Amino acid sequence: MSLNEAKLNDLLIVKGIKAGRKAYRRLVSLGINVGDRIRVLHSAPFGGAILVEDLDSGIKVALGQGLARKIIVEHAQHN
Amino acid sequence: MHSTIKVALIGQPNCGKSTFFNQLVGYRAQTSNFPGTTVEFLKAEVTYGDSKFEIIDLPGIYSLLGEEPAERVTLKYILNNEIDVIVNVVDSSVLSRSLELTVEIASLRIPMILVLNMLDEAEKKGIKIDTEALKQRLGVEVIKTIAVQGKGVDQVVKSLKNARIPTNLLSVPFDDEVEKELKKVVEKIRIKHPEISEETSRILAIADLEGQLGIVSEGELIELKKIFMRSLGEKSPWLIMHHEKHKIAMELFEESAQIVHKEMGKSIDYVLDSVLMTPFFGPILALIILLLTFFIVQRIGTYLGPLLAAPFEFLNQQLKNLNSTGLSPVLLQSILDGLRSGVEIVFPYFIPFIFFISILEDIGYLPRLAFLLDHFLHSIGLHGKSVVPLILGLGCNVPAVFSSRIIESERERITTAFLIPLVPCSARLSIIFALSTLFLGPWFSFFLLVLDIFVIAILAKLISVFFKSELTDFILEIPPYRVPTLKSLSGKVWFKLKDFIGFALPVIIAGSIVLSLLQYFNIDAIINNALSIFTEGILELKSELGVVLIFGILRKELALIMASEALHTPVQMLNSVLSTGQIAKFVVFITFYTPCLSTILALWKETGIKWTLLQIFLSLTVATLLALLTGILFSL
Repeated sequence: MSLNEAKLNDLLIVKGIKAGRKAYRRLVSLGINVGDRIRVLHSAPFGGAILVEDLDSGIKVALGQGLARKIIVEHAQHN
Repeated sequence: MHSTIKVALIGQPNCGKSTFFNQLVGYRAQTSNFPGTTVEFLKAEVTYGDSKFEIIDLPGIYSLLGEEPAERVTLKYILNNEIDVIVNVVDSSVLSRSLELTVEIASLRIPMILVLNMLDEAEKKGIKIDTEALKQRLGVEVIKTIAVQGKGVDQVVKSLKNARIPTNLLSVPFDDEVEKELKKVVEKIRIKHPEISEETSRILAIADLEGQLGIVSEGELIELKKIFMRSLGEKSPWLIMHHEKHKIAMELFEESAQIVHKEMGKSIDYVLDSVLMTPFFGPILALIILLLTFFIVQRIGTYLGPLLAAPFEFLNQQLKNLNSTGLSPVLLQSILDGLRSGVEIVFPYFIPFIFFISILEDIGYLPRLAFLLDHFLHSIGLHGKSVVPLILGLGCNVPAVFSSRIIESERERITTAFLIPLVPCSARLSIIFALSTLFLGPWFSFFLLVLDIFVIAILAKLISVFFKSELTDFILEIPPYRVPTLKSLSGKVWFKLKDFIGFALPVIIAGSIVLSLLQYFNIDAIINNALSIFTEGILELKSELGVVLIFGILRKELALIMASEALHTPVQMLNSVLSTGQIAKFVVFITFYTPCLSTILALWKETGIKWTLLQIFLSLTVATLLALLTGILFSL
């Protein structure tokens, strides 16, 4: 599924980034890489940006809906 | 003779680099702003022991090879200046990602020192770092610091002269076909920058193949991409290099850091965010925080204003008692008035505003505000990041216009800069607050601020209709909440204050002198007459205010004190010569009309002459229309 469809606080794994090269470069430079464990902490009102925490690089990033749609995620397996 | 050692501070955004810089140079240093082509950087000369250092604080960047304005400035600086030592400041609490930039810097072959800053935050997160492992792999000095507390800074100073060339860890070999093409680009770079090492040129070449540096032409790029597709598939050399860089950084992290799991409850960040960032409370609290800031500054201003006026009133009286005639008392009086209007803005309004905005900035609230407002700002053609320049505009419009450079997209950057003059700066707020409190009631200033927000939103929307281009994605790192230190806050206030005193105050005093000379030689009457069609005819104010409005363009803060001089009435008694409606009209007009000269120049530099002229024209129109509307409302 896309990141914008994810529920708040679900533990997810980034499976792919289908963004253009520029957006891709920005995401990986900020520390969101394919394979990272992430979760959505908050979403802004009226379908605005989402706040994502990357548990592997230890950062929080605000992403617009457009970009969130291009990040493919999967639920992490609970061990 | 010792020559100056050039030290560049490089680090990712929010790594505490600026705090570190302030600790390094102290406030004794001569610090100056150098607005680069996009984002400005700071420079200071200091002497430690018998060595002289020039410390350059480059803008925070995620990667040397990114395309954000800050990243371009930093790379350009490194390429065009001879740097003796790079101090790579790293936020230890996000060590693995920060090391990606370190790996890039290490490939530059410039002597460096690695500074692991914010050690306390790393420890809070349960990250334990072994500097030996990093030292061995990178071959450079690694120093742990907590810059906010000044810990470890001395050690960095001592190590500056022992900086060593780091071991290059980043090598990305490609197959022959790709290497052949890469080599051609490398040669082009080396012709342009012969001083750059082979390794660095190679990395730059890889970045350029993404069209980032503009060395390879568009046409060539298309050809090259076809070649790369054959051997690399969907992956570009940049991406392959990034993966390699990411891998090395992860390895370094695993070798040097240990995550000790601490059993912690919900951290303070989660608690705060769960209130400040939620769809319902977030915007409400944002509004409350903003209004509260205004309310507090208005209270401080109205309290301090009369206190500061008293000594000037006393001096004025002394001057009158001298009973001397001629030009010299007039000049003395005008210098006193200029000084007075400066003092009456700086202490009651400018300093409190800068202080409160700095608190919001240091706590980490501004990026959160950008997160909350991004959707709304996008809908009117702005960007989440526009929040920062717009809020900074409350202090002074000039640095705010420059700070719009943090926005990547041309359109959103220009629109933001264009709208900043409509944000009432502390000079205008001082007039709004003073006249509102005296004659119109405090509600008037709040009404005006709300109106201002509407005007900005409507104009933004209008521009977005005519100035179409692709909207950029919103992506912004949200730093952890941090407790602002008094040292950092006072530093920020001090730097801005120094700018104001050095630049604005002389202009205010000069303006005041020129005005009194005009009055002395009765030239003001000519100006007033020429403008009376506008001031009396359209605005239905007094013709004496013509010259005031002209000088208000020089410095807005002059407008009130000059109005009182032009009308020969103390500010507190303006209602004896102007009706309440006229005062309200005057306040509204001053709030919106033509930006001050410094802002005009800043806007010209940032957006070009066309946008600047449009801004002058639009703001004059808006100010006139709103003033007329105010007049109608007050006559009801």
